[in-house]
Amino acid sequence: MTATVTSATADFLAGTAFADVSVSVGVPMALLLIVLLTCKELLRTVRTRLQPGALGVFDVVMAPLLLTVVLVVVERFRALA
Amino acid sequence: MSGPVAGAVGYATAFALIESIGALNQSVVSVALHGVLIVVLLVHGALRSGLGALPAALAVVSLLRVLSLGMPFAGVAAPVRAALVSVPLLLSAALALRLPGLSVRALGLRPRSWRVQALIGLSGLPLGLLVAQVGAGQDAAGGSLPQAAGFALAWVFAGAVEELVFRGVLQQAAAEVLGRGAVLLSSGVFAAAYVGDGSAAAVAVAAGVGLLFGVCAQQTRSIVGVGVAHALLNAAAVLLWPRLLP
Repeated sequence: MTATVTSATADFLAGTAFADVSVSVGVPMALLLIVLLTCKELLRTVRTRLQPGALGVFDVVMAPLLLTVVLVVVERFRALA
Repeated sequence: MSGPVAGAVGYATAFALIESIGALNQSVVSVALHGVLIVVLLVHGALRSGLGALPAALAVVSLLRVLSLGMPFAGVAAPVRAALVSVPLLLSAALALRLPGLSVRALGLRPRSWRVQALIGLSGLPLGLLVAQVGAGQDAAGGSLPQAAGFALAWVFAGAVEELVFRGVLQQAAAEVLGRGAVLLSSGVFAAAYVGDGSAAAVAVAAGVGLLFGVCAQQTRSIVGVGVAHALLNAAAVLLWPRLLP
């Protein structure tokens, strides 16, 4: 019993080639990373009176997302080789 | 309903709706919507709007789905995938626990009574039977014993990390806003995360288990027992009950 891999997730992955998954999900993940980075920097610039550590909330998602995007890119290159 | 409470309920409802869209074989759409929700949650969280660390905690839960679909290694078995996804999720939860309003100390990793935590942990065995009855763990049940044991180990890790996310981070953050009602929010979001299983029984069991674990974690101020219970539940559902009661 885990919410991490539900039947819908397993069915999607089983029915979709890795090359397609890395585009249809990998690209939105990379975009999300860029959008979060942009939001973080915009807030840093615009809201000069943010409370200390307020921008740390972005790291909660950005760090694991960056790790996963790097894995996707490495796997994509490995699949090409 | 006060502003922060309405905000908490609204975000939880948005998460449930996006999960429902994913359950309708619209996984790519659901990833995009989870992405939008994460951006909104984190900007809201950075601006400190009376919701404390709750937006960041809900973003961790939304990230769970993004990672589960986006993590490479598509050919691996579901339990191994769950364990792989749990690694960045663990990093996310660890970073969330450094935010103001959350703490590692509040996880109660040194509980007041180990006996009570052991009893809560053992509840995973009968709950595993319930989960096995609604269909979880079928992949491992048909395999060899070493394969099933390996899968069970992967499920154990994934289960423990889920408890850290739902009871350790989400419930702790929700308690700041909702007080004792945090259990309802964490168990509701926990159940919504199972909508993708496509079975009303699975969602009902997840809601019941989430509520039970939430109350246990709240009353004992520790997630040790529920972490063990979820891990044991997964191991029992794939390894023990399918072999004892084929």
